[in-house]
Amino acid sequence: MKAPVKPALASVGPSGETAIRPPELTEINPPIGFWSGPARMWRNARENRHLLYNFIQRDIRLKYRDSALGYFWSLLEPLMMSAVYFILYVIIAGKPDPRYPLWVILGVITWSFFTKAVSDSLVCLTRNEGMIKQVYFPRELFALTSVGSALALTLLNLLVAIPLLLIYRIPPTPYLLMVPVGLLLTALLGLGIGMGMACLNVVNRDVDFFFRFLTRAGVFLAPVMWTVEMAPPSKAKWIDYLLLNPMAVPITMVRDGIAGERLGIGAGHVAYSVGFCLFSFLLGSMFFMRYEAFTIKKL
Amino acid sequence: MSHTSILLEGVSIEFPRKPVTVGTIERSFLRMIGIGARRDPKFTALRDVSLEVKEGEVLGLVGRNGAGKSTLLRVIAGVYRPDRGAAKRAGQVSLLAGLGVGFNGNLSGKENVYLYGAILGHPRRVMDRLMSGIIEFSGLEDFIDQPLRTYSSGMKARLGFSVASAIRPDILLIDEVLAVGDADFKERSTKRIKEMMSEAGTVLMASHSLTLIKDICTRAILVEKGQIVESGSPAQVIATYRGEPQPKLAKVAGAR
Repeated sequence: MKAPVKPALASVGPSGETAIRPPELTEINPPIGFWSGPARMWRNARENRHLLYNFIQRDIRLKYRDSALGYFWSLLEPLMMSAVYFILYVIIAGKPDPRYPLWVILGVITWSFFTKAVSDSLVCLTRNEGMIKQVYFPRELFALTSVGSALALTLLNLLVAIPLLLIYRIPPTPYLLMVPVGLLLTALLGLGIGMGMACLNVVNRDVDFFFRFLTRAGVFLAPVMWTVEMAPPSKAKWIDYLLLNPMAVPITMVRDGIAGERLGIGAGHVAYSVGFCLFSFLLGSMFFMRYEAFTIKKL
Repeated sequence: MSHTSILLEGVSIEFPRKPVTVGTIERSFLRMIGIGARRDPKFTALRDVSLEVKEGEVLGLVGRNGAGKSTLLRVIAGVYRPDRGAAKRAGQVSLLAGLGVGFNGNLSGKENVYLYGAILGHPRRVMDRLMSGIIEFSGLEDFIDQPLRTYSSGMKARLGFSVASAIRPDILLIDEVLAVGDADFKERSTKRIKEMMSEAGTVLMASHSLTLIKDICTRAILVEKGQIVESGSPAQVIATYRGEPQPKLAKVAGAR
């Protein structure tokens, strides 16, 4: 082999310090074991947090750019949606509880967080094809960006609760601590489903269509327009079935937390939902981390 | 004695041949019970490639379109994981390809610089430091706060190049991104690339500009059908590449 002509330069690391010893030869983008997926994802997210931050900032900036009302859409959107549900409720069931508008608005906001988290992370590989093929950084950042942006927009949406709480004269209570828990569970579930299905969606777009249907149908099966407490005692058995929906507990947590009420769901169902969300997060991220590199080639 | 910067040992990578339509359920069912077409044939983009690049080398990649040059660079960058073999590298890598990936038309030029910088691995504080130099080099001072969708494609390419070339990695991979923009910018960007090359520890460059390869590379390899068929001085490799018969006759000649 020909001898290199140029003298070897001292390599300068990313933080600017000069390395005395040459950098070590390490394997490029090594495969990740199935079980170490979530830990690896956590490390990659920490190492690339500036990128995550930039992506989320971009998404928020773009959301309402070129609209006259700008951020107010974040408040108007759930307000208008709740107005529709409210009218629907009055037509079907008659006079609701005076706090019904508050309940439904919180239900709408939490449910749309879940919908957006799933639908955006589901397509994160297919949508970013161009970037994926030209530059390498850990691909789970695309999924984390989807859920992170959805969470940021949800927090902006939730500010609409403040004027409502003033109107209803509901003081802040310790139950508010349930709100972050509910949002975290939603994020974990959305991330789990989204990451697990993102790889499959590259191979077969049917996945996307199926979940689009599921999120639309789910709005009725989850306590968005109704609350668990509304069910008459004779229908309690049905509520038991509906609580099998893992989103029932997170929605109720956010709703009761802000409305300052005790969680109206038994501990058994709460444990089930927490377990379900955690399990799907772990499974989804393991699946994604293991098979993402294989999937990329099919893009 | 300089150390090894990139080491590929028996690297192979296969891509599924992408059919125009997805296989339908009935077809996969038939396949499952053993009737009908076999599995989709695979396309081998790299076949048992071994390569060692020492620090300080400027390696030129020569070969036809679709020979595997870009795939080779992408394996080193980490975009594709090899199916077989080991790929190793020492140090930070930067792939100059598809300038301006992740650019968003609705963000301003400046916001896009931060975003693209982050995509290439640079936190905001580093970009803050580089910003004035990037804007100056791009020559887009007057437009930098305008949304990117108002830029012409040449202006976008200039901005992309300015960001990408502000970075000084240990290993620089260049995939046909020389010469963007107008004549004046083209000249400046070629100068900038040469500057980057002299500062980067190791450079791999895929290009169809054979004179450029002859001018600045210390070594060249000829890539053909996913294999490295020749490695040597740029002049020698280019001569082999030029002297090859046309594709139709390649099989007959079978030159190795």
